Amino acid sequence: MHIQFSCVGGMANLDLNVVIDTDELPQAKRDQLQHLMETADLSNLSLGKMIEAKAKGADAFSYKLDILEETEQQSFTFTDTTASGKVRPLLDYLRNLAIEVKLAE
Amino acid sequence: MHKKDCSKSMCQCFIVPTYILENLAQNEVEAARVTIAKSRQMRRRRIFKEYDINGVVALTDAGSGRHGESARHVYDCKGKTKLRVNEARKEGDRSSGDSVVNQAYDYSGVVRDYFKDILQRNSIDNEGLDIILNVHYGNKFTNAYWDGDEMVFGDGDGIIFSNFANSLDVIGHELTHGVTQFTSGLEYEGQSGALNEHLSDVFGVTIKQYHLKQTASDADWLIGADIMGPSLKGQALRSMKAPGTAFDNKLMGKDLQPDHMRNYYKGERDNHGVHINSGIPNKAFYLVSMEIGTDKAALIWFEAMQHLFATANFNQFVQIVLKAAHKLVDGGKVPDTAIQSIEAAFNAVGLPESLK
Ligand SMILES: [Zn+2]
Ligand SMILES: [Zn+2]
Repeated sequence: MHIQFSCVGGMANLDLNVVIDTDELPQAKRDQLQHLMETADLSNLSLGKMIEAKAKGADAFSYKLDILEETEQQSFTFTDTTASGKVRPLLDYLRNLAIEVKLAE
Repeated sequence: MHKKDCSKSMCQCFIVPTYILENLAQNEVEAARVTIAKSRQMRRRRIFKEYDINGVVALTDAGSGRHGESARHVYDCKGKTKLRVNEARKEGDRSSGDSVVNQAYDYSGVVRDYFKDILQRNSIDNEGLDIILNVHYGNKFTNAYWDGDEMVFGDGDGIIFSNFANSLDVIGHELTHGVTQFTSGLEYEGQSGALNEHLSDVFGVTIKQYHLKQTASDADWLIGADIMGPSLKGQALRSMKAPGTAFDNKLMGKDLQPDHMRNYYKGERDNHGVHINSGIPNKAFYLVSMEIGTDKAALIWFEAMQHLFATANFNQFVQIVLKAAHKLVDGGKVPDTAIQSIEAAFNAVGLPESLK
């Protein structure tokens, strides 16, 4: 599975991007990500609801998550204010991974 | 009427006729009615927001606080992403064992008191709305935001950013987003969004200078200098004095804020550059402050803030700031040189833009 993740904007106006091939992750990291994906329960996120959840407030990050599995692709967008409690730990994890990668470049 | 290069799907490059501005100004009774309705709506929304069973307990707790007295409530998210779960310090409580909780409490008090004592505004909604701050949000969360009801602060990654609550100007910035929501409700997109960002930077910086008893020429005019990691001393999120020079590091890249309309960012990122193009009015505010003092400039900007409307663009902002300045000059609150200083400052950043 390939995951394409971006986290843009916020108070510090960041532009973070990372592409992950889950097969390349060490076992422990792959398990952790797997667990966070299950918790996030993305398959039960209806697209309609995501569009409906209007961003409020200011300085929230905008997240984009593309998941490619064989021939199937799913795309999700969130902000800090519209993401549900279930999804937030996954976004936290992917953002930190993107930061780690960017700092190592 | 249209700018040639207007790229927005919803074109906003018109000048509002003066008679509309007059009506807006005269309609203060209506504005007050709307504010009261909005305050009620927010209090209600805070109660019915998505909560799990654990949250309900904390909610009852928050409900017992003093209302209408702009009481502070600081919550410790303990690295999780739920808001308002563990109340760590509320109004009148003695100091907590957590320095971040205490900073959030103290700094939000400075901001609230500035709005009340200097600008005669009673909290976010001018009706004494309680002030809610969530700290230690998420795992190494590199952001601070206003979620429409309350403020949220992350601990930062520890390398590029330290704690986002560790800064008076950042807390002032976030709380001012609440004030904007209750006044003009500037849309968070394009030029109105950049003005929303600008106003938050203006009051963040002004309150910091007031608190530190600095003048415009003593101050560093930086936003977020206190939240940069130990290896990035001297960097910040934004510079109002010299937009485009605040940072240059591996995580953030190079600061791209323009300080003139000729370098206006036209891309899509960041809601069409709300944190980028704010550099243009930010520089104008700095220039005005150097002429008449930050305190006087802030009085004018606060007056203007209350006459803005949700879709206001930069040109309209210039007109409204000038109108506010005329009013305060007539009332003897600011020197009459203010008008010239404002015109010169906006001209220096390429405003108003001539419309072809
Ligand atoms: Zn902001
Ligand atoms: Zn146009």
